[in-house]
Amino acid sequence: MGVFAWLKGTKIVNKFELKVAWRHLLTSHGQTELTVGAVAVGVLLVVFLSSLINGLQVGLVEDVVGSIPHVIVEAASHEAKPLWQMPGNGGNAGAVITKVEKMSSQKQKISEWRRMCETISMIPGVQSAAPSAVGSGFASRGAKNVGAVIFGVDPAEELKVKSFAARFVQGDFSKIDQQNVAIGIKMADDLGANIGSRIRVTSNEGVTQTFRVAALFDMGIENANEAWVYVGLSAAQGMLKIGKDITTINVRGRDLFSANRIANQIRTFTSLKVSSWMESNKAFLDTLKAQNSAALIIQTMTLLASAFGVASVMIVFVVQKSRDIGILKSMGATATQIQKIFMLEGLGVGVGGALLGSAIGTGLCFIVQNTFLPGETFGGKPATLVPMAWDFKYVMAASLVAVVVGLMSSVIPARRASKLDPVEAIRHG
Amino acid sequence: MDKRKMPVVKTVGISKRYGEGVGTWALRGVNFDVAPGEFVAIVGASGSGKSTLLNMIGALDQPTSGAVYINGQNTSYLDENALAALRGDTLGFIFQFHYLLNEFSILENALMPFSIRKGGPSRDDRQWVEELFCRVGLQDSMHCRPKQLSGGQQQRGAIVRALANRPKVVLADEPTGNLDSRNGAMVFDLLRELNTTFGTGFVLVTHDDRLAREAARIVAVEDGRIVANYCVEEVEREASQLRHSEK
Repeated sequence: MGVFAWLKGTKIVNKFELKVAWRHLLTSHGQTELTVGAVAVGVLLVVFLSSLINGLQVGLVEDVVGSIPHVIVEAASHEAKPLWQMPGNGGNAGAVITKVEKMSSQKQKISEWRRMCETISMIPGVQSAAPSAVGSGFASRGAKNVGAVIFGVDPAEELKVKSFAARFVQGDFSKIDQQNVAIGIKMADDLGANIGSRIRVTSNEGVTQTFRVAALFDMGIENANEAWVYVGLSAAQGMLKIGKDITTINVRGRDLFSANRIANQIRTFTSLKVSSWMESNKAFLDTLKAQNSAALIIQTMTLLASAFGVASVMIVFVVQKSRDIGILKSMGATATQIQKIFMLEGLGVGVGGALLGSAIGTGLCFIVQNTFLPGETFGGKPATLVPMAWDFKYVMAASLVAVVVGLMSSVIPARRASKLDPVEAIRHG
Repeated sequence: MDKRKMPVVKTVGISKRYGEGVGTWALRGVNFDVAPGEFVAIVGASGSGKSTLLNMIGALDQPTSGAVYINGQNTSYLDENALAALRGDTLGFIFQFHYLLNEFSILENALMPFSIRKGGPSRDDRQWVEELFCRVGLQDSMHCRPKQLSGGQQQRGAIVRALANRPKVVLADEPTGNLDSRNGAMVFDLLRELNTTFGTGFVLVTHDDRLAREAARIVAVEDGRIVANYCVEEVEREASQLRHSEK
């Protein structure tokens, strides 16, 4: 009744129109319940599907992005410049006539990284920027050797740029330093190592250092579990022979999908190589977009079906109320008043359906969200029956659409009611 | 013209044809008027055009040709909203069936014209309607829904609704047609009493010649034409004089 009271206050409708509409809705012998139910099912599905799709995407994105930073800033590789290019027009313009060989042996590093980290941190939307020294090598224990990607990080800083704390299945990531290392579960399996075991890590620069395994992780990615080795930043700097420099700055934005904007802003003040997770995972993002489009189509169809349901019941309602319409007209009711009565009924159905659908949809989401599958994880968190990520904005959006659907579905029946000939309506109503 | 004597409703040569082409003529050149406070009965066989005439003078339908004047206003020149206003302010309707809105009590039904026209009844309006309910003997049932009442009570509720907005003329289409003879006579007597007490004009369409004779004026319709239009009192006076002269 709150919406009706508000409408009355706006003077768009008067007490008579509100009263007749309200009484019609209350005494419709099941038709109100039917139409409100149709809208509620639409809203319920939109809320549930949105939460489901969002839950799936959050889980997938967590799996893909959780173990990588949103933006990576690396030292630009030194590209050899051709000495001469052929001048010309059209297809020959800018044709390179000198073969360029990549210089792979030269180590790329960032010297002024502290200042760079501070500058990046000041970009709006950036949550944190952390230094990292990354290089290749291998890890060994006894006679067993496996290839390794060495990440030298400050664990506290690294946890600020990657949301992977939950992926450490044993030990304590914060303990990694000059003597302690974190490795993947696959590497630990391959080397026969466990927490407290000692392993040797040798960089491609030929520096070997012995570490104690302080933590084991499961990133959900085979390659990472097999080859990633986290050591202290200074240990990596020594092993990679880069002195006090670093190779990479990892950046985390407050919003996952602001990565491209942040990357572009970093590009404006540095010649370093900048890449965002969105640029590196374009195919994945395209899949998410396709999934969103599919969900949108399903939701639109659902609401359209609700709209047709409401419209058809409203038309039947108008036919049933024909005589009443004729009587009201004989008492001086105008066509506009009659139209408003039936549009108010549509609005009432929309509001009722939105409230009911939101309540049931939200309840369902919370039930599913809190039903866990024992021993399984998704997105680094305990797996639920179906991954859900309920958001109030879905309820608001679905409710708003439902109210509009209710109102719009009543337009044609309301116009039909307003145009009824009172004589015919009274005689044949 | 003196407004007190000006007809509340007047038709000038109205005709009504239903259907395309030749169609069916329901009314043919009808001239008719109702003075303030007059009680007129329209009689005629089924299909003679009496209900069509009532719809025309109630501005519920428009004539094919001719003009209908209500309160001096030619209804042909009024838009839908103005016609609705004219109906709401000047006329009251009673139908063969009560046609009260079942979702509302009969009191709410009777107050409906005020809600439609003014957004709601004033204290005076409410008092007036309650007085009407007392007059028709429904003071104890006015908060009941129509379905909780008998046919006679429902029709009396409909009469209160028709009179609620103090109309100049009440148009009643077979108001006793759906009632037994006792209730029919009761309703008719009530209409006469309200006509006498409040000076409200009544135009009554009826099949019942016995009831029609109780009206001040009788208009007979046949094949869409008025074939007789006479004042009952004058006829009776003339008949009486005739009887005296014969003696």
